Amino acid sequence: MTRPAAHALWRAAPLRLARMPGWGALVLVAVTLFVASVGAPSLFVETARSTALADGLRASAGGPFGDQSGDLRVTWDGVVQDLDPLLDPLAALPAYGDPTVTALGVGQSQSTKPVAVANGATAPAVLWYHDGAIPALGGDDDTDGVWLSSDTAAALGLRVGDPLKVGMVQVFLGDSRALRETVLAGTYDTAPGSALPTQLAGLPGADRWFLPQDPVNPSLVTPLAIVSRATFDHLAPKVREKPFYVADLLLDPDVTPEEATAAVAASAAYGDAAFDGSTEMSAQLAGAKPAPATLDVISGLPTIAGAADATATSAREQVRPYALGGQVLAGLLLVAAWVLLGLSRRREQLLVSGLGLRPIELTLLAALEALLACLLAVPAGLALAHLGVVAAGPPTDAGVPFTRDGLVRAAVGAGIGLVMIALTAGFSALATDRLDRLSRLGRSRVAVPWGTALVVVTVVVTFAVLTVETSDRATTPLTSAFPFLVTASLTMVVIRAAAWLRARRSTRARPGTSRWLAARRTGPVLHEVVALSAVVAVALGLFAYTLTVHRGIDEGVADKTAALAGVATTIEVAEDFRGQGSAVAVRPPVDGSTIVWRRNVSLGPDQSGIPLMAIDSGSFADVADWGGSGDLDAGRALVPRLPTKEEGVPVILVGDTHLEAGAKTVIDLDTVLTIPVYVVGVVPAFPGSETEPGTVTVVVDSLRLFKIVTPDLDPRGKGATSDLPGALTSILWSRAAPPDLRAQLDDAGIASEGVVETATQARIENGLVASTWAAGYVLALGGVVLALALAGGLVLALRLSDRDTVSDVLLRRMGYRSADLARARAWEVGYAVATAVVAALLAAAVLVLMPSSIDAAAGIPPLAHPRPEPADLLWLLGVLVVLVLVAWLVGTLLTRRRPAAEVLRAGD
Amino acid sequence: MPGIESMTAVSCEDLVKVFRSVTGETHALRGIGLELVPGALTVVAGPSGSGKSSLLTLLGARDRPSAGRLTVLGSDVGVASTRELRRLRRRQIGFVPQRASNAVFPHLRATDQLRQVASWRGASRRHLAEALDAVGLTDRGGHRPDALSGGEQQRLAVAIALVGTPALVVADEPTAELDHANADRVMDALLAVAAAGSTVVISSHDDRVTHRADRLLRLRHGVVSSETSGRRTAAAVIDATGRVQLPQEMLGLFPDRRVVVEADGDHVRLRRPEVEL
Repeated sequence: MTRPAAHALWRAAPLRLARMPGWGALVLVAVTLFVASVGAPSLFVETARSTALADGLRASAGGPFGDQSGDLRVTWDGVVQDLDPLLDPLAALPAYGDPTVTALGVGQSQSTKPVAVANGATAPAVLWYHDGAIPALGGDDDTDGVWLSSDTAAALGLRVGDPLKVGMVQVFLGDSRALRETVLAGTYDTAPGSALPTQLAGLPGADRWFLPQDPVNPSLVTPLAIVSRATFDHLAPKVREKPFYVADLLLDPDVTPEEATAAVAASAAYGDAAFDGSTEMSAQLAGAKPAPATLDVISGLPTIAGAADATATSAREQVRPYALGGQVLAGLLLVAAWVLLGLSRRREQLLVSGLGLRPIELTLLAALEALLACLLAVPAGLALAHLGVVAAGPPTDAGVPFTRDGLVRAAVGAGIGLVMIALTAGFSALATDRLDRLSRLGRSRVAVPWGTALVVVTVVVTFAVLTVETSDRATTPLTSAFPFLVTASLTMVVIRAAAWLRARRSTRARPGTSRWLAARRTGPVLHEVVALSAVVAVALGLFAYTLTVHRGIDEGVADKTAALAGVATTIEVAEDFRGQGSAVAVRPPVDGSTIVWRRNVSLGPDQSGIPLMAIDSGSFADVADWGGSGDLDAGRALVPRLPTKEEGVPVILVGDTHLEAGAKTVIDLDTVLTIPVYVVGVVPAFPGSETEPGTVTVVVDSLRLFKIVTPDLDPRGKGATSDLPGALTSILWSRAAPPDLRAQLDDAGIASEGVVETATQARIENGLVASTWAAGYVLALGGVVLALALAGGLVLALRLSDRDTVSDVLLRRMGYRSADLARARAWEVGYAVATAVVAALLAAAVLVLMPSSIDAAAGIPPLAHPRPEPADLLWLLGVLVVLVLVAWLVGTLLTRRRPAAEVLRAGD
Repeated sequence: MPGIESMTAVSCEDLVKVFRSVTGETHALRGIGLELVPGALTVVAGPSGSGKSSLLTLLGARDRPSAGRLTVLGSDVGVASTRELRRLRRRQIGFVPQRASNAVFPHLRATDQLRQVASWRGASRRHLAEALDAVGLTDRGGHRPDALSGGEQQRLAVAIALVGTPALVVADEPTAELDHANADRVMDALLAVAAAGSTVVISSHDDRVTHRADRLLRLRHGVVSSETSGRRTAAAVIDATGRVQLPQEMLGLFPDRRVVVEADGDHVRLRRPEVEL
């Protein structure tokens, strides 16, 4: 005899699910989904943070050092005796490369010039040192002397090895000179348009090196007198030059958010150490020549990392309702899976209750039984979460890393899932143990009006959500429950209405046909069938809604980006469009561009500080970004009316204003110039209108405006400069990317150093990129509810098949074919799913028509709202077709696989 | 009287059971009064719907009465806590439900099922073998229920109920799915556990079962319609040629005057030949 195992129930529990492949797979899938729903949000946020950081760094890559660059620039204005106390800590900064040192004189001014003097001739030349520059010129860092450009050397009549003097001369109010003798160590040819030698100008990052600027005309190049650092340190103080040291450090382009945070903290500590009198660095700076030096740390990394953090926080806030909804949904699925498993073990539950097992024992047995599935769900859920974030989350080149934190969260999720399963089993055992509640005389079973309760809760939650400020509505926790409740309530109404209609109307199908049989079988309402139909309907309703939400958020982001940025790239051009007549001030200087002039004005008698956009009506509409939804098209239609002749200058008003189309008012450019305007239209948003969100913007044709303004404000007139008080700012809008636009402008001879702003930056800085990513999360959630709908439909088909096991045998003996019976069940499932589709459509329509609760950036117009498309209906119809086919297939297979004798023997 | 109280394993008085449903109330039991003592096997008989299963479910402390008083092994089932009833069922009551598949764990081997239940009742390993042997499943102990026939599952359910000789054994039609030989085997096992001091109460329609009862209760419409006491035993004489002379009242069981004689250890069993399989 086989040796009996002690505590057999406990020993059998861990592998019990493994011996039930169907249920085991269901539980594993449910726990995996739950683990993924717990792990995905933080993974999503971390990916959002790293993506935002990478985007920010990418946008600033190659740009000048400063607030817009992640690279670090440290400067000090003096010659220190020992550079190591300053450079060694810099080299040790995390995430940064080794420092590259540049030293130069910055003493030139309108009255003082750096020069080289020889043979009675004088030529401008600024002392300049850069790590590696002299070796690149073929010299030695230890060599004394200077390297001058060939042109300068020729102008001075010098050849290599000739003596010369370098220093500062005063050219105004006196003739003071401070020169020191040196030798010409070498010459170099300059790169075209640059002060740098050709050997250096082509090196990576050379365009970002610190070069001396002519204080009178910054666009002029000051020739360099390239020296070794020792020579610079020796000469600069003696010629009354102002020595200025720059140490540049490049940020690792693949820096992680954690490394960036560490780098920000370390660079801040470095800056603090310069002012700490106890440090060697401070001592060196204090002893600098010609005067104690001040050290500055310049980097945009704190700003960029802060923006990435803000984006991640925004992403977290925007995703939270959907993440919570996903977790609740996954939790319900998990509980439902275990409840279904419990229902399949109803007899066993009665057995264990009869045998006196305590609920706590059953709770622990369930936990033991689900333990393996939960353990497997940790890696599976983690992988699913990664897959979801990679597929639908923020786009990232670096991938989504598997971290220890992620593993811990997945384990916590699995633990919570295990507890939920155990509690479900425990409550079920308690309910089985207390059967007396159902049968004791004098106690009637309390019938909870679930339907009424659902409707009441839905109404209350809907009212609560709609009373929340529009700007906060998307992130309020109630928003998570709102779509579910609305969908559930409408589903209940539709399913009850369908049952009522069915009860009142007999089928027209010919008696004996599959359809007639299906109609006869759907007559008695089975709670289980109703419940499964409701699950399918709610899941489909939520799926349809997520499609509209995803589209609404995506298009809303595109609209808001257009309203914020106006176009892919804008660059401020200070002078090049001024003083050269109408053609230059208005006509697009390069392909795919348009010029927009801006300044603030007063509108009417009481609105001051109103942004004014003066646009070129001819080119603006083709260049500007009009968003994704068409909500901005109303403004586009009004643009051609701006140059027309009206009683007053035609203007478009953008934003919330009491003025309406056809209204006449005035704009006031300053206290002496009041311009009558005629409102051709009022629109909620317009490309570039939201430089100050919430404020009305006035859009006017630039030529119409220039003809009216006073000559000092007219940028077309000779002598017009951007420095004049009240001058309009000229901004070039272009569809090109910043580097391409700069190249185009360089080719056209237009200054490209102005402030560049991009649509990408606007999306990041205003949290819209987080909205885009949140939309991806919504889509992933939609995939889950679609899977739930399909699973619900499959279970419905299986349960109907189980229900008909015995009757199918009898009907076959009465002459029905198996195919007829399968077809009848397919009709029945089709009817249930069609009802679900109707309920889902109704629910989605109601949710779409209600005031929007999906816009997490509602402060930036236009308001995003769910947007349905005919394709959504096709999705639902596709689900209907798939489920009917599945029902037919299941019916056919199961009917064939069940021997009649076994069915009748086991029937009860 | 204290003496009688201590001898009574189960007592009920005006026992009423009403089931509620959406279509109304069903009065399954309408005032049952009885006492069951240890060492006896009581059979509850009656037509379908007479309340047999409801009564046995109550006697097995698996449900509470709607009215009246029911005391099982000293516990008042109507007022006892759920925990108290659970403890009672776990340690002192063996129960065989009407459908055998409802009484076995589908995922455990037969011996493991007995072992598990025996551990709750504090029974020794010897009891496992005895219980399996009593129902004729000694060589089937290593199988799971899905490898057992319906009859074998029923016998396993009986074995689970009997293992450890609980103070009260309640069996709802324990021989319904069995052939006569196995039904007799099960009845023998039930009688043996009664003889060992347990109180045994079963329901059955089968005359072969009712004839072997110490006490027969007939239910009709939720009330006891008749009660017969005493197992029908009588002295008979075996003559020198081996012929047995049965009493007249037993002779009626053999109308064609033919009999099958079965030897089973120390017992000899007589039965009608037409029921032989």
